[in-house]
Amino acid sequence: MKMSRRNWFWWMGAGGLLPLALMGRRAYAQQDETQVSAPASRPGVRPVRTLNGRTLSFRMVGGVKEFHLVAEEVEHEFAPGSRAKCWGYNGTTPGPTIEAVEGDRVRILVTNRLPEHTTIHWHGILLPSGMDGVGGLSQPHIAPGETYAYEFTLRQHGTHMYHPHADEMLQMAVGMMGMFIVHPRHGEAVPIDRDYCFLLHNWALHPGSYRPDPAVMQDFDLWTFNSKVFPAIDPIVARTGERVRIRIGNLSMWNHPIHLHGVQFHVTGSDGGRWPRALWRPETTEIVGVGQTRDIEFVAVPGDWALHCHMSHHTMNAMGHDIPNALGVKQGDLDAAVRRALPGYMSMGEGGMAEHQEHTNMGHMAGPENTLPMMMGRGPFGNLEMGGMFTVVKVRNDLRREDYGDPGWYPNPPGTVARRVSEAPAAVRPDEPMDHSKMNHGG
Amino acid sequence: MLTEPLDLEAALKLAFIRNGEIRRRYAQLGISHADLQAAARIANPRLSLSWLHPQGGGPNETSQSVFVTFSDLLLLPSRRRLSAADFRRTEFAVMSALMELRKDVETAWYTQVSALQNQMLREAAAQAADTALELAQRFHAAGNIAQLELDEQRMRAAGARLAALRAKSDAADARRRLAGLLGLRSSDPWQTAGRLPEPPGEEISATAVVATAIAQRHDLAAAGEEVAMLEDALATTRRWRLLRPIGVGYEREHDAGGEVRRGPGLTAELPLFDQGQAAIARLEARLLDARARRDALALDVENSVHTEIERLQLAHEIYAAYRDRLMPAAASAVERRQERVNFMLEGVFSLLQARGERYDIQAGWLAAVRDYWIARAALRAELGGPLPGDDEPRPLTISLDDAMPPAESEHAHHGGDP
Repeated sequence: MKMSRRNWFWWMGAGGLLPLALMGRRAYAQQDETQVSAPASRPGVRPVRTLNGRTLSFRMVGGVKEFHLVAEEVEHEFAPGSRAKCWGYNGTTPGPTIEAVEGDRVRILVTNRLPEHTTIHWHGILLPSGMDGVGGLSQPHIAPGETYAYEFTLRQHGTHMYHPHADEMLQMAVGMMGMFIVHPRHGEAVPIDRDYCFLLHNWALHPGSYRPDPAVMQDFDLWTFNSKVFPAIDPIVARTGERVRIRIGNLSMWNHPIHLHGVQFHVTGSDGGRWPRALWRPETTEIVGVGQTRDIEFVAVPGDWALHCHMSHHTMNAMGHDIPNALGVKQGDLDAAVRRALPGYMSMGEGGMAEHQEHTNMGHMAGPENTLPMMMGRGPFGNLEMGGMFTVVKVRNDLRREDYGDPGWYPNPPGTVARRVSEAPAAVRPDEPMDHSKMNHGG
Repeated sequence: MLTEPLDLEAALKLAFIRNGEIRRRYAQLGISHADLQAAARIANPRLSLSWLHPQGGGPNETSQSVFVTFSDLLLLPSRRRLSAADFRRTEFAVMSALMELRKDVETAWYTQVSALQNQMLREAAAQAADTALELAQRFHAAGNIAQLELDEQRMRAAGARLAALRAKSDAADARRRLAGLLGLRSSDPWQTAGRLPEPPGEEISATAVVATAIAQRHDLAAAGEEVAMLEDALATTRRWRLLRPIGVGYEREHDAGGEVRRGPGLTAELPLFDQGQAAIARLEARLLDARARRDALALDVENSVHTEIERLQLAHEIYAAYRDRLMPAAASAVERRQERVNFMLEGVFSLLQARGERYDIQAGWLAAVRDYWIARAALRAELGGPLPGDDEPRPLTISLDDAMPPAESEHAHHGGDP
């Protein structure tokens, strides 16, 4: 069917009801998870927290953990103001996280509700060749309407992923991916208090469009943690002193140097499992290469700490990469002349791009439909001017153990916030000794 | 002299009074009317006097006679009829000339008004391109763009300025042409109204129009009159073909002997050899020629009307495609691009370039409106009279306000900038 614009909005309207259905399903799944999910039932095994996502429930069938993934088109919201028709599993992109324990026998049913065939490759999992999910090589393709069963015994632990290996470029570009966490059978020598996971991805959701463009190789519009952009990405919440693990997988088209403020974390694992302690290394930035997973661990320090990709364009939403550079160009006095031809025109960028978020926050500069401003987010001290792969690790002293709710902004202890010491640019020169007597130390 | 801007009606009135060609036509109408009056009178009586002087001497022989041509009296009614037909033929010719003039004036008026609007449009486009160039110069001076990009803006600005100059030249040509038709001096400070009228929403249908044309075309009526006149002339000539000028008179003669003789006289031509065959043959040939001309003209009128209707319908389709499709799409495209600029997805130069393309499209739209009205004038001329919908008022609504929003208050500020 050719999707006319009107149909599309009708479809959007119908899609608007979808989250309700999903919420019900999610609530059920989470309840289900606490009931039958094995990890919680074993001592020392703590279920992961999928940012903006959930763990897939299973049922025990003759001693086999049976999961069911449905590959289908989904209506996805990257952040309020940007939705798209994507493909995913069980109503979401990424699909729900599969969690199991080393030694488990798992059976994963895969139903194809896509308009073309698919398969699932269990990325990094050791299994029989015929279960590896490479369409045409390991197995026949799963045709639309068909359900296939994958079944294998987990012989390892670690942070893994799943994704199609059929029309892979397209199917991944429109959101088909998920995480597959295998917990060690006998617990972990250094226990984890909070275990988070998310997938890195990129999307060519061109401004004004409603479907990711699979043809793009590098010049992406949206950069996501679990298919969300800041400020729609859940914060990572922990209590002071807790040991936190963040498991990061990369199914995007770029390597991402993930940087965490506030601590030296240890890189402790990957899809090779939790590494021997001798291999752990302290870092503040870890590159997660395409197709790789990395686990980082740290002891939580109170504060609000940024966690983000250090490619600075990856912490922005859609923006032009071929626009004339306005920095240092006096333009404002020509605005009236330009407005004679273009009544809505206003120049920007003479002093930098920071003013942009002010304009878009106020809403007097409309952008293309279904498009997020390139800079978003407001904190306690002003605009964050971020988008894309950015979230905040929020560590508080007084959190309950199972409280994952957003605690709000960090109340900095007195005297621990950077302060203004002068408003006069000429008052302080780096090459002159500071005359403290002339400075305003107030407040 | 002319303080009010000339709308089309005023221009037509002026042309009908002052146009040089049409004044000559009116003069011909006067000549034809004089002929008509002449044809209503019989020839004057002829007086003849003679003095015969004998060679041998003696008194002169004198004679006096008065002759009245009798045949005139017989032919008078048909001569008067022929002359009246001739006068009507001249009248028709004048009407046709007026229709032609009307078409020429309408064409020239629409051309002039659209040329002025186009001149304003091109001026706005040139100013926008100049602004883009000034911006580019600042970007370049700040070290942010290369000479190549600056050169591109310079080319665009120069191109837009040239288009504005060409539009100005076209407007001057159009003014000269209109001035000639209206009998005005192009150097005098008269003005046309500032806007083209909006074409009607629906276009007229072909079927009714052709019949109207056959009924009301003046030249076709004139050709018909000529046939009728020649038929009449031929009949008259046949009826009186044996009639030759006959004179009746009274003669008085004084001979040398002093004897006076008097008595009536009669002169008549004897139609022995020439019985009017040549005149009849000539008239028959002229009648055949006139009929052939009338029939050819009728066919020509029908074909021309069809052609002009097609042209008008096509002109309307083109105008409607601009109005309903290209213009809204171009306006929307510029707005969408503005949104992209707002979100820093694109820069000011591509936005101004898109605006420049929209100016081009608006110029095309103006030309389409003008062509519609010119096609309508041409069809009306083919029709020889009014078209359906002619009496509906057509406010002058084709406005460039959208193309050129009024200058803002900051404009004065900008004007003061170097």
